[in-house]
Amino acid sequence: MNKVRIVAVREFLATVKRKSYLIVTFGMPFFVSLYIGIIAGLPTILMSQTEAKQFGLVDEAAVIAPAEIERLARGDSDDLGRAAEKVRAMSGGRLSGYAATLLKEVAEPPRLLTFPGRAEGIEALRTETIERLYVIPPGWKDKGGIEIYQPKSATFSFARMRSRDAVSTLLRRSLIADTVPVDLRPRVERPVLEEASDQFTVDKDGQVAPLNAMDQGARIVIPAIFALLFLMSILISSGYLLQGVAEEKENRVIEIILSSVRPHQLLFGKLLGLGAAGLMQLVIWIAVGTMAVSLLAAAALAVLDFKLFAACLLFFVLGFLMLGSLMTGTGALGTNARESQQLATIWTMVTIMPPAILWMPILNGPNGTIARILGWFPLTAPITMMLRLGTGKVPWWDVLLSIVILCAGVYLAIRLSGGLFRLGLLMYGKRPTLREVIRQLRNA
Amino acid sequence: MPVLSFVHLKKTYAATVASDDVTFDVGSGDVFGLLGPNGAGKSTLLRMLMDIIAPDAGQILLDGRPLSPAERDRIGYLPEERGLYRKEKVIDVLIYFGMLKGLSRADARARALEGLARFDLQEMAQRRCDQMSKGQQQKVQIIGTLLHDPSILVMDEPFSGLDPINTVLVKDLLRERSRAGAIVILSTHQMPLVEELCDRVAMIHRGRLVLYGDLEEIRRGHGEASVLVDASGPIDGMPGVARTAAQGRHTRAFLVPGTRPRDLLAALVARGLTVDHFESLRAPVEEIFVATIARDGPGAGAPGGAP
Repeated sequence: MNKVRIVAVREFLATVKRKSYLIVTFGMPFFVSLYIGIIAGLPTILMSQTEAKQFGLVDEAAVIAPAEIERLARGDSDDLGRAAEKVRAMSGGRLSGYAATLLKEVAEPPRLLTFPGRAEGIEALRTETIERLYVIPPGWKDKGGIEIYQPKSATFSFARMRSRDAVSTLLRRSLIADTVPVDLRPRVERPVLEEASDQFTVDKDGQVAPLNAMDQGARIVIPAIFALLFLMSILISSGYLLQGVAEEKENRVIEIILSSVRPHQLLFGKLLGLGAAGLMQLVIWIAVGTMAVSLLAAAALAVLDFKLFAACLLFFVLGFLMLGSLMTGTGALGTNARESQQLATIWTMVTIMPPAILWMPILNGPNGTIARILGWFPLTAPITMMLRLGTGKVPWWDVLLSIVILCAGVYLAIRLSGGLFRLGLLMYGKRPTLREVIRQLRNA
Repeated sequence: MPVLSFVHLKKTYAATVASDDVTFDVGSGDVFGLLGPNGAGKSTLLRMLMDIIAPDAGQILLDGRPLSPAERDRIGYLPEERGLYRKEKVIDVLIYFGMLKGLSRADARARALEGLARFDLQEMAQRRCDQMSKGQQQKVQIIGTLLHDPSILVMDEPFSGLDPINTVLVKDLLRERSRAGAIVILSTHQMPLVEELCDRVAMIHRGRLVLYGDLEEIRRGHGEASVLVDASGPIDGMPGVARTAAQGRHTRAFLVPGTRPRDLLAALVARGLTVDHFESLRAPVEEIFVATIARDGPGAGAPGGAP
């Protein structure tokens, strides 16, 4: 174990001291911030120059109640607008850039201008007084269809989408204006109010308790964050692992090292050292990047469900060790860094693809055949089990079995990869034949 | 006195036999030469000793017992395919090599600085490896091999890339280690250095042991006996002389089997010739090497890069 530690420390220090590592680690957040700044800044500038959006309405069917037209002309806000106004008030004017502009746009309700006839409406559209024209034709009451006119150059707009909702609300309110009593109108408009509703859970003993929305969120968010971090850490660390293997081969230093350490010790040491360097990079990016919110959320939610957090962490570590060792062992068979990368990609595909394609059946039937097979197969177990654990329906013995199989898989992967590593590292400039690989695997 | 034994070692790569039932002993206090043409299987033997590759059959014993991991850590190995971490500082690389052989960081550092001073490379300690010349890198690799004061020293072509001054330094080091009781194995193609340094040799050809034993005895048993003579009269046709050939200012006389050099000297004196130079020649190792290979037949041998 001491030699593993020596190798791990050297690999870690040699990597993190490299200029390229420092530039990528600390430069990436800077460049990403700069990029986001530019992307966010442009629409802000462009939108600040845009005037408030206005839309046209021609009521040929004569169904719109005059009181509703007046309300719209006054600019009464809709639900979304009221919510946006609330967020703006809560932020106390601290929001800036794209977020502030977006919020301002949402808070501002679409304004509808009425026109006596279709021709006037189309003229207003041509002169760009309005962005869109809605015509309620005479046969609307029977058929339900309306006509929408817009400039040829029109593109997607959030306000345009809301204006259509505003027209629907207008029609709905107009229809009930004379037939439904005033106190019942809100219920006809919105029969179920989310904010006024309550949800409860019933356990196996029949105990009724209010539903904890945070708890439910944690069940989905924690595994999702872990699965995302797992994918990112594998993608980032694999580069360092393969670079580490290729470098020693190119420098011809490997035979000196192998005369002092066993191949599996070298492999494991590299995996720990280079993996730690990759994970550290990821943590730094998270800490300074926009994902800080996600991590904080995961940490906060961990308080709510520590067992779930610990199980996800365990699957993360075991999965990382297994995939990392397989990638390193296979990568050593390549004659150059590019070939190593291609060989190592096989494992990434096998690990990611099945749960990525079958996530729906896994979540819908966490104890079904597909979920169980993928959860017990060491390569697909990490992501599958994270998804299954999120449902909260997997029996403890099932989780334990998956962990035991995964541990055995990690041990086997390190042994096999150690053999491939030894075979590949001493092959200078040529790739071993399939026969040699099989023989080496048998010996391992 | 510890003895390292290679016992019935066999190793095959696909259709190539890299080691074919090889058995020999290496004792301490001697410099042992491992000879053979390219691809003969020498590197395979050394890699089996270092446990980098496993033999198909046979074993390697130290004083009759299989080598323990701790004893393997006492081996200093300089492989033919060698290098350094190019982008790292010389001192850091040496400390790493030392620590992998069981030294503490402080010990490894102290010994590395000592070794660098011995090879006059003190100022290189903080430089990056790729800032050194090939010869300097070679010296750093040799320092790395000796850091942990190995009791078994295995060096594959240690003199390649070294200037004459450093060649002398390395030769002294090998003798020094040998006198200190270490088992020293030297694999090289430079026959003059074998003649100068080695007490015992083993020659491998096509994976087989074709020559093994005390170098002096091997030389006595190989090649025609000859003498280098500078006499006042002709030597051709004298009893016991098979043929002669000019060699610089002297004449080289090849003796009829059974004739001893002193028999010829006595005959020259008896004829009343003045003898200014008389030197009994031993067969050069290079001749023995070439003759042995020719007798055994040329072979492809084991691929040099095969593990």
